[in-house]
Amino acid sequence: MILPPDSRSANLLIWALLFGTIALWQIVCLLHSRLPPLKTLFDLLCRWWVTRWALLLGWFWWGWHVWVRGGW
Amino acid sequence: MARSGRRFALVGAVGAYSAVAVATDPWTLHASILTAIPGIAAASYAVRRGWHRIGRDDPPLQIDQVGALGLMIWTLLVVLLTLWVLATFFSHPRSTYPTISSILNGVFDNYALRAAGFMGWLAMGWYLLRR
Repeated sequence: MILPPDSRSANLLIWALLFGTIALWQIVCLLHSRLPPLKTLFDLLCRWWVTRWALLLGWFWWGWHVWVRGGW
Repeated sequence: MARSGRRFALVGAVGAYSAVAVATDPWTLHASILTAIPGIAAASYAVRRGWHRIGRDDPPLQIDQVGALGLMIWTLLVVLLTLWVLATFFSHPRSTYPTISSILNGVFDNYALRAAGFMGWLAMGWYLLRR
């Protein structure tokens, strides 16, 4: 069980660190031809019909969540 | 030249659609219909491309030991992100434990960013469908 710290700033920092690490790893992978960029992970997941439909469903769910059920 | 013109027109059309789609408030029929249309179009296109078929003729992926290690690191990052998403989602109050959605709600108060975000969402769908 992960317990987030009781501070908005700390939690925002963790978000930034997570996405920053993902972006950094993607850059490292793009710079080194033997390392797989995120595209390879998608290619791998799209090889099975269950996972490619799950990805598409996830994409649609995300859009619905943000654009229809959003709170701006 | 014709090809780049078509691409320019396509980007323009997607931009215009996005601008219209996010022009009104969420929780409305307008938002629901304009978000559902790309979803239905994507599902139809996926079926047309044979996504429902169990076997596809994809060439084998060439992944060596370094590549496998890289994929393991990707998996670890996805697991960490998922755990953090769940941890913030089940924590309250939202002001102290922001989720991606609550952070984006603040960003998408701006109409131009909202339209750009919708375009990004459409582009992501198109990218997935081309796999």
